[in-house]
Amino acid sequence: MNYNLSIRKLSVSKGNSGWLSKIDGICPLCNMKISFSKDANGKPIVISSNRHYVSGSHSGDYIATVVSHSATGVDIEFKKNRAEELIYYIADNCERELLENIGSESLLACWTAKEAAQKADAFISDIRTYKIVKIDANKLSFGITRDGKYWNGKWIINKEFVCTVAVED
Amino acid sequence: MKISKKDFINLLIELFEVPSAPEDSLDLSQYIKDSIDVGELLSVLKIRYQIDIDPNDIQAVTKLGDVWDIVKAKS
Repeated sequence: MNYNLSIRKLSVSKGNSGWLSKIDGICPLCNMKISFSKDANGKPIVISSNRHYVSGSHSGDYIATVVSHSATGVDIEFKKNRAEELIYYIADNCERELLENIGSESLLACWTAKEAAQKADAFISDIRTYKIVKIDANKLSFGITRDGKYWNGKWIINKEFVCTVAVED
Repeated sequence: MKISKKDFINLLIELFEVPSAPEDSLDLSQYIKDSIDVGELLSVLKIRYQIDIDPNDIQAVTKLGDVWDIVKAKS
């Protein structure tokens, strides 16, 4: 899983429209200069290279950005109480059993894993169609799949947020 | 379980702290800001009230009255 993740706290909440500007234009993985645009759906794309992928997310005062050489997605969610129905809506029995290993943050871990995979997959499918199939609770890593595609993922969990990166295998 | 408009408004108050007695013209995008908020609303509608709404159906709708029309049509 080769990626570079940056999580920054903004002094003033600015919304998510400017997150591309938080990537400084040099790939942290290979030092190549990269420049960005957005496709017709608003998805950020790298226009200077066909081997770089970017993704961004915003929640509360935090912005997360990721750069990778494989299709990638990132999602960050500020911690707050959520309806308990949400985990039953997005995760099946097998996934909920796996997620028990993550403990109290299993709901946000599940949501952000699926949203990150959905972003890496260019938003082509409903979030519920992505299935978590493997979790390593010690490393806070997971595998997630949809229709034969597979993404490796990593959670960053702290007292304020859950942030998740998914990178295509 | 059948949902009434009062139930729906109480649900919005419970989940998103919208003002009590909101108008149909209330812009819900002030309260339902992120995709996880939409997921939360749809999950409660589906599991508590057995109302299954496609996320795409409410993506472009912002006014309370318009969202209620979709919920009512599916219930």
